[in-house]
Amino acid sequence: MLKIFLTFIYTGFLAFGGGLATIPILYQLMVLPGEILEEDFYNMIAISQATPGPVGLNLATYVGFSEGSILGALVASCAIAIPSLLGVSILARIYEKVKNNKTMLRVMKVLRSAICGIVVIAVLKLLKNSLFNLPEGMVANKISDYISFLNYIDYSALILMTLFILFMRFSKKKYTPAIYIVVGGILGIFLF
Amino acid sequence: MDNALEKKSFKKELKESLDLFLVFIKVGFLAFGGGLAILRVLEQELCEKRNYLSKEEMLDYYILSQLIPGIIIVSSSCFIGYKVKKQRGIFIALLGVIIPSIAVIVVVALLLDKLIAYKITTSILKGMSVAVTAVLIDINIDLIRNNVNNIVYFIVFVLSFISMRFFNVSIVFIVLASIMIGLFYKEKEIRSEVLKDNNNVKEDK
Repeated sequence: MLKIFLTFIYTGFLAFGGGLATIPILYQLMVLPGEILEEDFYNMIAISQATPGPVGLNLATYVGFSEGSILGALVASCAIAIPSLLGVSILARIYEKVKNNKTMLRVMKVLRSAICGIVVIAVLKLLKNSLFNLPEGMVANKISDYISFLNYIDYSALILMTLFILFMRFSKKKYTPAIYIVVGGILGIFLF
Repeated sequence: MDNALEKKSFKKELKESLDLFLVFIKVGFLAFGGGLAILRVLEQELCEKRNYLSKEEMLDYYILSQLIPGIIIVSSSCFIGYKVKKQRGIFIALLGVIIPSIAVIVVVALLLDKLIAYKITTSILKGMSVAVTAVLIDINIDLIRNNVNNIVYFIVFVLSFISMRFFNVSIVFIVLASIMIGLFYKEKEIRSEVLKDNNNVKEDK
């Protein structure tokens, strides 16, 4: 148990840039020494993405569960949250003091634009996974690679997604995302 | 009299804390699709329904969370908890985020190994992933429209996208560079921007 705890505290403190950054660290700590089979590890990642909740937290919980059952899951998820707990306790106090400072407001406005650019990258990654049936291990390096992606486009997914977006943009009432996801799951039975 | 008042405010405090906790639990079970989808649901629950904090603050917390190690949404939740209920809020939010994750993963780990063999499971997951992506595109359009509203912000937006996507620049550097730009760039030096800003202010009022 102590080993699980230390593993995940270590992972948490190294995971700059969020949940996905935990994947290579956990790979190094758990798969390379042979604690977890590589195939199992990839299944865990897929399931962490498909289940509700933050991907990194789910992955940590899952790895903890496979190592030490329910107690392992509990220890792992608490350990990986400790860096957040400490970091926020410190940073939130500083932020409350400076947040109405004029310079700070200017800096935050620029930061928000920068974050928008980074969010676009995350969305593009998801688009690649959900809209194309790409062969295993295909990555784009050149512009011609991107064009060849078009051969693998999944049209029913494209149409479904377009409908979803149009509905979200133009419907008067805003629904919670969970509703769209349930509808998507049901339609998925018939479409894919 | 005083005692009764104290008791009442304690009761109110407890009720608010419980409410915050339940929001996180609810979001934890409902928010498929990772980070931003969770943020969107939290925004609806906490900004629109309850007015605990503004959408800009929510985005700021998301940015600040990039600066500390750990899982971003866990950190963002802690920030929100702090905003609403100070140090105690951090623990409330943390528990609210962790409990659904443990519950879901334990159930799924026991069941899904068997379910994944059926084709219907992958079909459902595929349909869900399409919906999640659609939700994220919708959020992204709103984010860009609300925040990237002049040429300098647009340049920052494009540069941060290009440098991270094509040159693998670490997010820490992008944040530092943005801070530098923020320190030196004053919106009011550009006259047309002042006019535009004034218009925006009027519209807001």
